[in-house]
Amino acid sequence: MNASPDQNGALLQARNVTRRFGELVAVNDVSFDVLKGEIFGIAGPNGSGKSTLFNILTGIPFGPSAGRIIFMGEEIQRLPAYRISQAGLVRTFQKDAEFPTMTARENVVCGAVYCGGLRRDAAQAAADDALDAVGFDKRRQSLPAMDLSVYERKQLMIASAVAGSPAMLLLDEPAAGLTKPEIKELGDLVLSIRDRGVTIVLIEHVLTLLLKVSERLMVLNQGAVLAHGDPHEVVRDQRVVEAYLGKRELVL
Amino acid sequence: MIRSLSGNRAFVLGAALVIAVLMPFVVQDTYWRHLFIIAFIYAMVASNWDLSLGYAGIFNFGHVAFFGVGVYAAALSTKFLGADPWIAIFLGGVAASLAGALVALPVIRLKGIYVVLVTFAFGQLVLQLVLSQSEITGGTQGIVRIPALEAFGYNFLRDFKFGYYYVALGLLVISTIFLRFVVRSDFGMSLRALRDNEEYAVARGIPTGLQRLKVLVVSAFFTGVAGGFFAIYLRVASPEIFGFPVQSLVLSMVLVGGTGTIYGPIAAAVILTFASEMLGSIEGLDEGRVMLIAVAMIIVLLFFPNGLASIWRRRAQRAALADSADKAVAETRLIENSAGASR
Repeated sequence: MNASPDQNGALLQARNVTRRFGELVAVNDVSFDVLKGEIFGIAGPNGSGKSTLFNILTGIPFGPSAGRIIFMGEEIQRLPAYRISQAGLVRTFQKDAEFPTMTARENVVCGAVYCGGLRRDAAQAAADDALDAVGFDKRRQSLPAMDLSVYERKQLMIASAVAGSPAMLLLDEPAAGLTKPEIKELGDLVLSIRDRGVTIVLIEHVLTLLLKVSERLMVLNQGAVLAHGDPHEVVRDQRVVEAYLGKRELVL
Repeated sequence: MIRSLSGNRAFVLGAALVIAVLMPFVVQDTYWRHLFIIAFIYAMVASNWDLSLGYAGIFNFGHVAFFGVGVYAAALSTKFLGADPWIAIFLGGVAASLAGALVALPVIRLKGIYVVLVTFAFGQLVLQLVLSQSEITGGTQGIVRIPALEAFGYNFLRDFKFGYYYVALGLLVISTIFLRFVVRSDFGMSLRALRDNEEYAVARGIPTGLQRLKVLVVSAFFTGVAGGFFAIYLRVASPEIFGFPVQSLVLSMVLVGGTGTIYGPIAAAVILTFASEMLGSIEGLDEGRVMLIAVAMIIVLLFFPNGLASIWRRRAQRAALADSADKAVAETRLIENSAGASR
């Protein structure tokens, strides 16, 4: 019954995924595939269900009300959330998330140990490598995460995911709150992570970033898929433009 | 700079241990030695409590009940199983760990204030159990005439508690080494991660429920051992240990010493045990000392919300910040110099 992951090269398959909160249907019958090695963009107006979709996929903090999620050939919608993370489907959060009292390096080692299943020495090597990959300032790695800047904490959140060598990384609006040069740096970072063999799903409001990095784009509106396909075509889709009510960001 | 601080710390710890080892040669008086033994027992309970409360951030208010479980497990196993007192002390730890697992079952499904309620209720439940099963536990009378420690024909009741002092100190040292090992392990790191940000910890693959279960079992063990030793040493098991005074005294040791540290609660246990005794011996302060300690606790926490250990930690953190700033300045100079040289 399960579709094999190699059948169409899909690493993740969402099938008729739905999430209800009482009367409200936050995510409504959404189906899509993410192919191995691609950068898959997700856009949509506020409240369109983008972050809820990430919550459902990772089980943090809740899974779907209905539907199936197949990751690397296995149904994961009933797995405990930490098992999904360990299986290599790892997310970041839209708001800042870090272990504030732990040092920057410990923050990353944690991901290497628990997501990556690495032992101490290997985990520390993986953490150093991930810190390098995100361009984190080595001199500041012994500081508690709470003393770091917004951008540094974003770097850490991504590094702690990368350190565990995930198969798929879900990035939830990583560009939020960043300056223009930082956004550009972030775009390069996303591409370099993909080049390490990590498949990426990217939720983003900053369309320049989305168009720069993603190979395919899905637009959600009111919890349902509005458009889906080549990013440059999708953003010109009349329904998408209307959903955004002609927001300036769309006119590039 | 950081290295000199940690060197500093090793020196202080080493000095404290040497003083503790030599103490019985200076202090010959039974009463004073008794106070040290009680302080060491409380130090074990407080520092292990901090593993679940301070490191893992579980609002566990049943920890003193683990101590009580250790006391009764040791007492009952000598009475009914004829267990050797040494074995009984160990059984105290085992029983407390089992109690820890039992408490964990509801705790891993709950959050915040509900954890406080459940763990607090657990303590009351054990107390009621002890009181109601009086034909086994002696009820309010407790269990008396518990056999004393003996080793190679040496009875520890001799020599003004000389032997007991070293058993207590030895257990505290072993418990502390164990705590250090736990705290520095990957498991210890995951506990801090859970405390800092549970949702994020799950997103990084940390099994919250399992870690909470483990930390309650682990932190209960030496607490139960302390309880077992307490029973064997005093040769009594009394339901008073489940009472509020013991609970609040040990809690104040954790809070005054500093949550999220090992040595803070240990130091505070020694200070508060002696302070409480000293004040109690002053005429008319027998009852008032509890209030005085409470006031002292409020004052300490007002100025050092993270406990006395935070004074030390703040210095280390400032050193780390200064260190990274130093490095940045040095690097900038290097870049400037090389830029100047290439010009």
